Formats: sequence, C-alpha cells, structure tokens
Amino acid sequence: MKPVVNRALAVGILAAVTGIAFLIALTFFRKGGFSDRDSYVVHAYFRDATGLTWKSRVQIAGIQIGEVDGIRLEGARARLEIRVKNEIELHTDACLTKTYPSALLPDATLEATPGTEATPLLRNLPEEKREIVCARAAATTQELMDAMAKIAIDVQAVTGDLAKTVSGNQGSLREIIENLARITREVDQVVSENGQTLSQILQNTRDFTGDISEISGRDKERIHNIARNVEDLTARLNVVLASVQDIIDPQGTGRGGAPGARGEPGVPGAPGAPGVAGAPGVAGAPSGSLLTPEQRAIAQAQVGGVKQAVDRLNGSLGKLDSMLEKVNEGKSPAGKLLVDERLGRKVGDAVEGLSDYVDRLVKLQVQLQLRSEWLLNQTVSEGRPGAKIYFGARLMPRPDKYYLIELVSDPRGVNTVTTETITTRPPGSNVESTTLVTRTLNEEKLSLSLELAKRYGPVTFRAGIIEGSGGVGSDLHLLQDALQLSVNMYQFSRPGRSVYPRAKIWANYHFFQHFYVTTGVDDFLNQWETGKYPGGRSFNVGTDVFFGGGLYFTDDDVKTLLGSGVSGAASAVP
Amino acid sequence: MDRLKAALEDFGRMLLFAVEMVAWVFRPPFRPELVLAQMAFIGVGSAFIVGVTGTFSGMVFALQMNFAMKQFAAEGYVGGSVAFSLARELSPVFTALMVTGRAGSAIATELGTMRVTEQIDAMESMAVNPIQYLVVPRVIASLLMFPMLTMLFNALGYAGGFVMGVYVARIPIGPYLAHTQEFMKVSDILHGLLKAVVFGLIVSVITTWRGYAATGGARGVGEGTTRGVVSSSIFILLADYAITFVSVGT
Repeated sequence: MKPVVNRALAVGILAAVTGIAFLIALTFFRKGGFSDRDSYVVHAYFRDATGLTWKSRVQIAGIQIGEVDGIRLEGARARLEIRVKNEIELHTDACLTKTYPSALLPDATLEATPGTEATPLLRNLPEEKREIVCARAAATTQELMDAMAKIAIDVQAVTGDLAKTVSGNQGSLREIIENLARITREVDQVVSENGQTLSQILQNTRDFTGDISEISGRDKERIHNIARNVEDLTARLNVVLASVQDIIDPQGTGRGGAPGARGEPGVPGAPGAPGVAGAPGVAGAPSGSLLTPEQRAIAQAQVGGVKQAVDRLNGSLGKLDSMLEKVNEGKSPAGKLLVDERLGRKVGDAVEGLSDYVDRLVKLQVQLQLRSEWLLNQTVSEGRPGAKIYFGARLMPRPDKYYLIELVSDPRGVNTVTTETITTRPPGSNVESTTLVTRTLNEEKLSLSLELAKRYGPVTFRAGIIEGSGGVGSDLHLLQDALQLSVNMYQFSRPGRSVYPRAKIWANYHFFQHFYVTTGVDDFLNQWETGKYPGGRSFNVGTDVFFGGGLYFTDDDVKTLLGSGVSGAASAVP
Repeated sequence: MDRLKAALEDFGRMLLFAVEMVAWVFRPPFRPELVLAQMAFIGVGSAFIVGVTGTFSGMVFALQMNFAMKQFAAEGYVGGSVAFSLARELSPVFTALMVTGRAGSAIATELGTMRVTEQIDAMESMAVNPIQYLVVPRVIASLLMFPMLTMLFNALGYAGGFVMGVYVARIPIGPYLAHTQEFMKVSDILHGLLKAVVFGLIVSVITTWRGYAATGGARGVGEGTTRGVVSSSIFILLADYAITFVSVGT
C-alpha cells in the first residue's frame, strides 16, 4: 500500500497546486459589481450600435461604472440594456456617448455623463422608464478623416492661390515685397551712409526754424515794415516796367509771348505765355508823365545798342553752334579727337602712362648724403689724417626701396691692373719681339658705388657695385631706425694679393634728423699690413677701426635750402 | 466500402463500450485505490511534460504576440492575449495531446497486452468485470486529471509569458496585468476546463477501447495503440472545434 499512499500524496499535491491556480484565476478575473444585487439596469437607444457588444464598458472619466447587458433591435434603433453600479447616480438628463478608444480597434465604449442633480435619479424610476434619452456617437475616425480631407482640399486651394500670388512676375506680392526690401535696403544704406549728414541737416533745420521763430517773434514790426516796403517796391517796379515797355515799343502794339521752349523728345513744347497786351495809357499814348523826351531818346538809343549787342551775340552763338556741329561730326582735329574712339583710347593711354610717370616722379624722393670716416691705423701709419669720404644720393621711389649712387674717396687708394704690350726690336735685327707686361698700380682716385637696396621689416639688403667692385651688404634698423648696424662684403679679389674679401662692419646712430655718428671696423677679415706696388703709392690692407659721422638731406630739404638761397640771393641783388 | 462498414461498426462498438463503461461507473464495488493509482499515473506522471509544454508555449506565444502588437504600439495587450489564448484553446488542447501521447498510449498498450495475453479473459472467468476493474478507474482518473493538468498548463504558461513579456520584451507590468484582467473572464477559464473534461473523456474512452479490443498478438497491440493515439488526437481537435463553435458561434 505504500505506493498508493505516495501516489495519493502526489495526486494531492497536483490537485492542490492546480486548485490554487484556479482560485487565483477566479479571483483575478472575476468582474464583480454587476450582479442584479449590485447594479441596476437602464436602457438607451442608439441609431448605430456598431462596436458595442455584450459586456462593453460603460465609463465615466475612464473608470468603468457599468457594462452593456444586452443589445436588441427595436424598430430601426438598437436598444441597449446597461447595468450600472448601485453607487453610481445617473439622472434622467444623463448622456451616453459612444466612443472609440483606439483608432485601430473596432471596439466602442460608452462614456457617460451623470446629469444634473436637479433632475430625478434613474435608479428611483420604474425599470421601463429608466431611459437615457441623450444617446449620441462621437465622430468616428472615418468621419474625422473625411472632414480632414475636405479641409485639406480647401487649404490646398488657398495655398495654391497664395503661391500664384507670391510667385507671379508682375504686380505680385513677391514683386511688392522685393521692391519694399530693395527700398528699405536703399533707405537703410542712405541713412547709414549719411546718418551724420542727415542729423546735421535736421539740426541745421531745427536751428534755422528756431532762428526764424525767434526773429519773427522779436522783430514782428520790422517784418511788417519790410513787407510793406516790398509791396511799395513792387508797385514802383510796375511803373518802371511800364516805362521800359513804352521805350521799347512806343507804339504800344504789344507782342505775343516768346514761344515756349522746345519740349523734350516726345513731349511737345508748352505754348508760350500770351503776350502782355500794351498797358492802357502806354500803348499809343505818350508817356510823358514818366520820362522827358530827352531821357526817352537817350534810353531808346541805349536800347538800340543793346539790340545790336544781342544781334552780335546771336551771330557768335550761331558760329559756335556750327563749330560744335563740325566737332560733333569729327571733321576737325578736335572733332576727331572727340569722336574717333581709337584715337581717343590712344590719347587716354598716353595720358595715363604720362600720369603714371609723373606720379612716380612726384613720389621719387632723393636723399643727398655725405659721410666721413676717420681711419685709425691709416692715420698712424701714414702720419697724416686718413679720412674716407662718401658723397652720394639715394633715389627712393618707395619708402622700402632705394638706389644708391655714391662717390668714395678712400685713402687706401684704388688698385688697378694694367697690361701693356711691349714690342722690341734689337738693333740690327728685323725681328720684333712682343712682351706682355701686367702691372698693378695703386692710385689715389675716386671709386663709384651703385647699389640697389630693398628693405624687409627691420632689415635692408643691398647689392651692386661697392667702391668699384661687386659686393653685397645688409643693414639692421633698430630703436625706431635710430640705430643702424651694417655690414658690407666687397672686393672679393684684390690684384696681386691673396687676402680675404674686404668686409666692413659699422654702426650708425642718428642723434638728430639729418645727422648721425658712426664707428666700425673696416677689412676686419685681414691683418693690417702696409705695402707698395712698384711705381705706385703705398697702400694698406687689413683691419682698421674708424670713427666718423654723416649728414643727409631729403629733396624737400634741398628744395627748401635752395629756395632760401635763391630768395636770399635775389634779395641781396640791389 | 467494407472498410467504411468496418470503421462504422468499430465506432458503434466503441460507443456501446462507452455506455457500458458509464453503467459500471455507478455500480459497486467502487475501487478508489485503482482510481487514485490511475490519477497518479495519468496526472502526476504527465505533470512534468505538461508543465514544460505549458511554460514554453506561454513564452513563445508572448514573444510572438509582442512582435505582432508592437506594430500597433499595443504591447500592453500581450498579457491579455496570452492568457486568453491559453485559457480557451492552447491549454486544453495541448494538455490533451500531451497526455494522449504519454498516458493514452500506455493505457492502450497495457490493456491490449492484457487482452492478447488473455488476462482480461481470465478476469471474466473470475467474475471480475474487466470494464469496471480496468476501464472505469482510468476514465474517472482522466476526467479528474485532465482539468487539473490544464489548469497547470494555464498557470505555467501565463507565468512563462509574463517572464518573457515583462522581463525580456520590457513591456510595462502595469498594462500587462491590467489588460490581462480586462480581457479575461472566469468563464474563459471554465470554458477551457470544460474542454479538458471532454478531452479526458475522449482520450480515456478511445485508448481503453483500443486496448480492450486489441487482437492478433503483439502486432495487434501496437496497431491498437497507434490507432488509439491517432484517433484520440483527431477527436480532440474535432471536439475542440465543436465546443468552440457552440460557445462562440460564427
């Protein structure tokens, strides 16, 4: 029997487990509250009960208060029996609205509104009279879609019209907006560019009107007097004009007005103003009341002179007109110049080139400079002052570029190499022998420097001929150009001597605008030595320390000095 | 024609067998120990396979429903869908099929073997009615155990679906449970349990009949077992359709 007991236990466990599961399900899924005892029944009629079924939810504010207990057809309407929880109070003016909680699912629910407390409770009425009269259906998704489709068509039509209006070419909103935008931009530009001017104008206008107001308020009586005087003057002027008319046209016939000026093309000229008819009492009537006969005769003679002058002027104008016509037709040289496009362009180019040239000339600055260096070793060795003199000019077309032309007098002299061809014939011989003789000579003469210099920031580079030989140099400008450190390298080969190139380093310090002091070392790559070429003067090679100074003037200064000198000389002449 | 006639004759004999079985249910002596033993064999013995099947069915169904409902952003309805499907359809049908495969085949084989080895004949010779002794306890046990196993299938299936839906598919637990409660009614559970009872009756009657009527030795036992399992499965599905049609309609 043991196995039977075990089986019984197993079966009991299984039964217990499944029984508990059943009870849980029963509790979990039981929908209480809608039994006959817990609820009361109301009914309503719907024209369309689609989506409503047995057990469909009835709710207020999303909380279930009842369910559909039955649906049947009565006539052409659906009668719904609805169970409502006892604790929910529905009145006779309650409403039921069929709604679809989900747009996808076809199930509908009934949304109830309980009604007003002033009306009787449905629960208290007999069951057959518990009718919810207000039964309606919310708009279905399809109805909403249909309405939206109609709205979309209307919106499409409106946007189409708007698009036509906006995208049209003439008189469209787009054109108007573009014009407005353009005008606004231009106004903004004018205002921004002339803001100060406009403010000034407004200020001036304000000042002016203020002044006028002040004057008119202060001198009101004077203004009245001025107005009266102007009135009187006008009356007198009328009399004078009548007299003049009498002189010009004694017969007083009167003439038509001058013809109107010729109109612009396409616009006819305005007719002249009608002539002023002879004034009564003037036309054909003696005007002795204003002028004596003598005065009138004089006046008439003067008028005749004026007429002749006007005739001559007309003649001159006619000739001028004829000349201008020829010029316009290109018949004369002046006309060709004005009419011939090719000639005009050439003349323009020439004038432009000339203008550039003149411009460059005007911009070109010339700086004259004089520099002197006192050479220490030279002085000691030679026993006489060894001064090296530089005189030259800087031509500066631009501030960062110049050409240097300089004459240099160096006490070391200039070494020159000469080659002589000597032809000899021994006595009694017809044979000539030719000998080439090369001689190096040291001469005391001027040497020439021609350099091109270009400045980049604080550094200037120079290249060209330095003291008669090719060379390069550089300047470093410091302390706002007050201090200049320079180096030169030139004379890379010297005749008959195996030495290093001549290198010179020096510093200039500008104390004043036109003056500087200098010191440096010349030929510092080689040792000092003294020599003499045959037939020449002695010369020095090697390191030599020097001190000195310099002067320089720009062309403006030179012009000023020259002008002063000329004017001084002129004033000195008796 | 002869086969159809033979089939109909076999069906008629099975129905008479069922009627006789019902008659013997109410006639003493009652043998509860035999019923208990069959309950243990059919119910407890099948609990594991039914539990596993139920758990995985719920899990798979929850995932599939989640995939479908996600298209409409309605994942919250997965719980209700799983519970509803399990209670009304999946649990009774799957449980019946599982029990048929495991216990029904065993019943048919056991009775068939007893038939071909003339043990049933020996029982009759000893004035022991074989239907009362062999069939009635199995039928009663099936009628009792099938609903229990179906309820087990329901519980484990919903639990598996809950785990998959809430902890794997990340469906919020609130909507999951709320929609389950909203969808499900007690009648749905009872509907499934009613099917389980019917299926229990079908399986027990068919399989005991196939064993009881087996002929021809071991081969006849095998054929009887096969026919019993197949017939039971077919009649389960037919009965499921019939019950659903009657209860829900078109």
